Amino acid sequence: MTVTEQEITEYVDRVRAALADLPPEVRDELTEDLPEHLREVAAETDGSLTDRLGAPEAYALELRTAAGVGTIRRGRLHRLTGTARRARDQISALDRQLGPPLGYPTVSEFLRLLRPGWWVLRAYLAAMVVTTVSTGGSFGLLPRFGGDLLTGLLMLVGLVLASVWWGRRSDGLRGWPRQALQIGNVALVVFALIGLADMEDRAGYDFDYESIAVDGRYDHVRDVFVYDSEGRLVRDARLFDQNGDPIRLGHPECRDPRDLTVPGNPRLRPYPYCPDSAPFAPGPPASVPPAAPALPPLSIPPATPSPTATQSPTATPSPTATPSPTATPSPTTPAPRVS
Amino acid sequence: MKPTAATSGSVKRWRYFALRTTVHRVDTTQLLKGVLDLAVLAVLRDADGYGYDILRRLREAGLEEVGDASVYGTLRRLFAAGLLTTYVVPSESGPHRKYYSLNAAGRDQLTRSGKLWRSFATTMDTLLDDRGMAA
Repeated sequence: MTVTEQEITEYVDRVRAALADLPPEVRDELTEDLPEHLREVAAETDGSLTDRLGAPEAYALELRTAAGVGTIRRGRLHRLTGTARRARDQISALDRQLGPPLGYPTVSEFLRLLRPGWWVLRAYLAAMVVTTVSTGGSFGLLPRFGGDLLTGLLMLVGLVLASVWWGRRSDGLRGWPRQALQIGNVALVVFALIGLADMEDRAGYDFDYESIAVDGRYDHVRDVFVYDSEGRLVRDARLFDQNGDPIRLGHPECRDPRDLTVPGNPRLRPYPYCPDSAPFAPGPPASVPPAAPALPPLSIPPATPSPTATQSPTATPSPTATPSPTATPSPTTPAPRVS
Repeated sequence: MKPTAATSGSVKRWRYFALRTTVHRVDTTQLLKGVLDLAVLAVLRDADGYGYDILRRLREAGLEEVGDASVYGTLRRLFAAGLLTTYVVPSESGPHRKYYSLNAAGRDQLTRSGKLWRSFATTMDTLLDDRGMAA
C-alpha cells in the first residue's frame, strides 16, 4: 500500500476546500464517505490518489456536478467566495491584532459592548427621519412630529424602546428579517452622514466670520451713518463691540475710489459706505434752505454755529478724509433713502 | 472532456462554450452522463450496496469509464430526489458503511426510465441498421 493516511487526509481536505462555497451540511453529506472510498481505492491500485482519481479539485467538480449542487456559474462563484474568504480571514486577523491596544481580546468584543449605544442612536436617527419627512425637509437637533416637539419626543422614547427590543432579539433573526434590519441600519447611517454634512455646511458660515460681531436682527441694515452731536455726518467711522471685534453691518453698494488703491475686504471699509446716501442732510448753513430733512443738533449749539471751528477731532479717525460738511452745502443732496 | 484543475478559468470557460457550440463526438463519457442515473438504479435492483461497491459493480458490468465522483454524486442526488433509502451497517474492518437501497419510488423510476431507454435504443438501432451500419 503506497498511499498513506496523510495523503488521504490531504486529498479529502482539498476536495472539501473546493466545495467550501456549499452549505456546510451539503458539503459534509457529499464528502462523508470519501475517506472510506479513498482507502478502498488505495488498497486496490498502485500509484498516488491523484494518478488514479485526478486532482482533488477536479474530483470535487465532478462530485458536485453529478450531485446537482451549485454547478451554475461555478467558476465565477468560486472565485467570489475565495475572495470573500480571504477578506474574512484578513479582517479576523486584524480583529485579533487591534484588540489588545483597546484593552480587549478582540476589536469585535469591544464593539459588542457598544451595541446598546448604537440601538439608542439608531432610534434617534429613525426619529429624525420621521422629523424630516413630516416637517418637509428642514430640521434641527430635536425630533419633531409635524413640527410638534412634545409628540416628537414621545415618538423618540417609543422608538428607543422598540430599537432596544429589536437589538436584543436580532441575534436570533435569520433570513429576510435579518437582511431587512441590516438594510435599515445602513439606510440610517447614510441618513446620519447626509444630516451631518448638512449641519457642517450650515455651521460653516459662522466659522468664516467668527471674529466679527453680527446679529440677525440687523440683516436689513445696508449702511451705517454716524452723526455727531452737531448733527454732522461723521465719515470713516469704525464700530467695535466690547471685545474689540469690528461690528460689520450692511455691505458696500456703491464704489469707493479708495477701493482701487486700498486692497482688501470691502466689508472692512469704514462707515458710511455710501456717504452720498446719507438719510439726513449735512448740518444746515443758515443761508441755504435744506433740500433734505436736516438732523437737529443734539445740544443747543452756540449762538452762531461755526461747524468748521467746532469739528471734533475724535470724529475724524482718518485724517486723509476731508469731511467738511459745510464745504458742500449742495442743494443736490439726495432725498432720504427709504429703506 | 472533463476540465482539469490546472487549466485557468478563462480556458475552462472557452472549453465550456466549445462544448456548447461544436458537434459532440460520441464517446462513453458523454453517453454515461445521460444514463448514469438509470445504470445506478439498475445495479441496485437486485442488491443494496455502499458507494464503492456500486462503483465496482458498474465497472464489472462494463461501464469502465465511469468516474468515482460521478457515482458518489449521483447516489447523493438520487437519494435527495427520494428514489433511494440509506442505512448504516457497522463494519468490523473499518468505519461504518452507508448502504443504498431502492425504494418504491426508485423501482418505479427504474421501470419507466428502463422502458424509455429501450425504446430509444431500439430507435437508434433501427436508424443505424437502415443506414447499413449494423454492428
